[in-house]
Amino acid sequence: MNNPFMPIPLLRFAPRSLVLAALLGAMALMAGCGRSGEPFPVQAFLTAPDNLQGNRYQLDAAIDAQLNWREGVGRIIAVSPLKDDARLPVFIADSLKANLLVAQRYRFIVTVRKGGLLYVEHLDKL
Amino acid sequence: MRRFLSSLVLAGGGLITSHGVAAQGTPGFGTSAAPATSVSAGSSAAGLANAADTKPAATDGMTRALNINSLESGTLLKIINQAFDTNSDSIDPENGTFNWKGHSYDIGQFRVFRGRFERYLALPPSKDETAYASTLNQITELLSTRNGDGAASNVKDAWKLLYQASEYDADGGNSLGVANQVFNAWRIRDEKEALTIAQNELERLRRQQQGSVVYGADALASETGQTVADAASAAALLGGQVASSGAGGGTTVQTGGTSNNTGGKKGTTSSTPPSTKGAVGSGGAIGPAGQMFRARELAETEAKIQALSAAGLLSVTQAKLQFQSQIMSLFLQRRFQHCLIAASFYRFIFKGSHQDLEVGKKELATFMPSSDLAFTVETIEFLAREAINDVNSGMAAVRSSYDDNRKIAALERLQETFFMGEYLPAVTQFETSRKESLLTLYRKVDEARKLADLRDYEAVVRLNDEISSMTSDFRGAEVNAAVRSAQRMSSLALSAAQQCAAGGDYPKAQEFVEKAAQIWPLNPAIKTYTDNMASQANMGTQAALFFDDAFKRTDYRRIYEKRAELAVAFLNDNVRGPQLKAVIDRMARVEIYLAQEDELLAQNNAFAAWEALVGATNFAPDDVELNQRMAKLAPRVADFIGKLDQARRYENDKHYAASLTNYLAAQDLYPASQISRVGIGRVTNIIMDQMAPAAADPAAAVKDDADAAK
Repeated sequence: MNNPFMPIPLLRFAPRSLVLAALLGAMALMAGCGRSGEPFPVQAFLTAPDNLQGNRYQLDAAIDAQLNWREGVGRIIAVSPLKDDARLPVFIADSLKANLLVAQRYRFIVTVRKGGLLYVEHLDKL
Repeated sequence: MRRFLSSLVLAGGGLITSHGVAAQGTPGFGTSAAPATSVSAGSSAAGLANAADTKPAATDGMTRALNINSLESGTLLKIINQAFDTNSDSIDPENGTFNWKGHSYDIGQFRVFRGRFERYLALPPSKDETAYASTLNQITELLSTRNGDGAASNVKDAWKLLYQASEYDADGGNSLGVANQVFNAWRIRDEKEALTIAQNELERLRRQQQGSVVYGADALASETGQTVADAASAAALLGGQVASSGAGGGTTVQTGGTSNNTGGKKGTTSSTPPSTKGAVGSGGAIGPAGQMFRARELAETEAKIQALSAAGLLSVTQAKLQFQSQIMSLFLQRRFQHCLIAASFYRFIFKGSHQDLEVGKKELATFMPSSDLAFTVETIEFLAREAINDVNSGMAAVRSSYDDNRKIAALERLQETFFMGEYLPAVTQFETSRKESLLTLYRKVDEARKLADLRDYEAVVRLNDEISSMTSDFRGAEVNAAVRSAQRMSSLALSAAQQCAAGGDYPKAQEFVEKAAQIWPLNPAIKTYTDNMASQANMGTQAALFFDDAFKRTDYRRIYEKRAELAVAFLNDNVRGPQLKAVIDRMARVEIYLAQEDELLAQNNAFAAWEALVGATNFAPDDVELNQRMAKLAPRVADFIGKLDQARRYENDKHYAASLTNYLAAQDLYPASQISRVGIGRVTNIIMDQMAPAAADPAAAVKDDADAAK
């Protein structure tokens, strides 16, 4: 059980290291995602949207109404945050190819662009 | 024969030297009066003789010269002459009009004649006029051939009465003119008698001279052996030469200042030797030269006789022409009574062979255009009597019309009659009461005519009523109809003017007003119209000031409140009119919004009410009423207002997403908000426009993101 097991333990540990590294990388990745998944400060946005420009947030909201759509560009959707009573306009580019319906709940990854535009970079249906 | 010649010379010398009568050239001989001539009528006779060659001009001159007693002006005389000229087209006796250059005038409108006629109507007949008429009648009676057989005493009495008649004012001195004419004729007749005496004396002298010449011729024949006939022929030849030289036209026979002293050698015999034959005036010298001078003296005497005869004839002609001129002048002056009196005197003064008219034939021919009779003094008398009869008939017609209460007709007949018989008793002694009544009527008619000329129709109607009450033959209904027609035409023109003014066509309105004023200047509606126009102009000025001030301050509410007055004032204001219309439209919409606000508030829909007020601010942002309402409503919709206001401010700052967020917030407060809905649509479109390049160019989107991150 000696030497003869020697290569065997290396072979035995090599896959485990890879899994661990993958887990660590995933954790590291998860750690980065956690920063961009910061909840969207609705009241702060309503009060001073310019202060949030350039930030990236996670917004859980229900589709309220489609305010505008232009083919090849995208659509502007009014969403109701799940935890707030206000309605917020978000821009969803056509490139996201999302199928949206009123009252559906989504988790939006948004960035606050110039002028306070909530630009949806990703969305997941809740 | 010789004694006969001697006695003839003696007798002739004595007569000629003592008589001193001056011969004068006769028209036929063509001589002119010498400076030493003393025949009283010589100069006038010469002038008259010249006038005889140019009778028409002389007649006019005579008429003027004898017109010294006329009270008529030259103008009136011309008018009267025209009136008597029946061939003239200036007078229309049928219609009583005077035509001049195609215009017809009532004879009564002559200024002069009207003045005289009014004066006649105003003045009552005086007692003097009655006495004056009586005097003229007395003169006429004395001169009548029925009374006194034309006794000289009657004529003289009548002549004296002329002086008495001339003292009356009504006579105008015409009787004096006739009396002077009669006196002048008598004086000329006396001169004619004196000339006849002188002529008789000269005839006697001529007979003596003829005897002397015959005697001398006999004596000369016996001495020289010639036959008596030859000697007489020689003497006659010499005498004829003298006579012919006197008749030749260039020789003046002076008898007044020259005397042939043929009587100095009175009683000389025919035995005078031939050597002394040439001594003129020697009584015994009966030589050829003496015989020649005796024959010349005989010829001179005969020339004097002829001259005196011509002078007598000329004096008669002169008197006749003067008298006829006077008669004609009186007739043309319408002094018909004086004309008759003068004609009667003429008849007594001149023989029947002198009754033919030498003057005034042309004038008389106009009264009797169809007659080719010889005109005599009796012709003038006939016309004068006809005129008097016409005047009397006319006055009878006046009285008849007056009694029938046809005073207009009476007035017209009286004017016509007065025109003809102004100086006749029938006219002058017309009853005072009737004259006063006719004068009142005349003045009222004249006043009505003047008022009609002035187009004062109301006064015309008033006078028309008065005149109609005074007489039954005044055509008052026609006058009233004409007045009403004119008034109606004026009113129609004024109505047209008002319509044009209402339509802004002021030039046309002015034209119609002028027409209305032309038809009826005193139309009271014209004053009302002009007052209204002035009031409008005044109001327009004030309104313009008010409007300009309010418009400048965008105080549309004040303008809107006075929109009715301003609309009238700016009816024709091409600048303010459209501005006013825009303000009224704008404020009308505001009022609608305000009404909506009232209704929405009543429904307790404050947000909708607010939006209505906001809608009104687009039209009148400074309207006090609107702002007051908004201020009153604002607390109830403060959040909504805040969101909308924030959205608008973000939008203005081009923060469209933030603006959109606030619009959504406002819409959350009032889901039916139109402002929010419109704002959302507007802003989202802008956002889409902005996002379009990013979608087409992702790098640009990354860049935008980088910019946003910064």
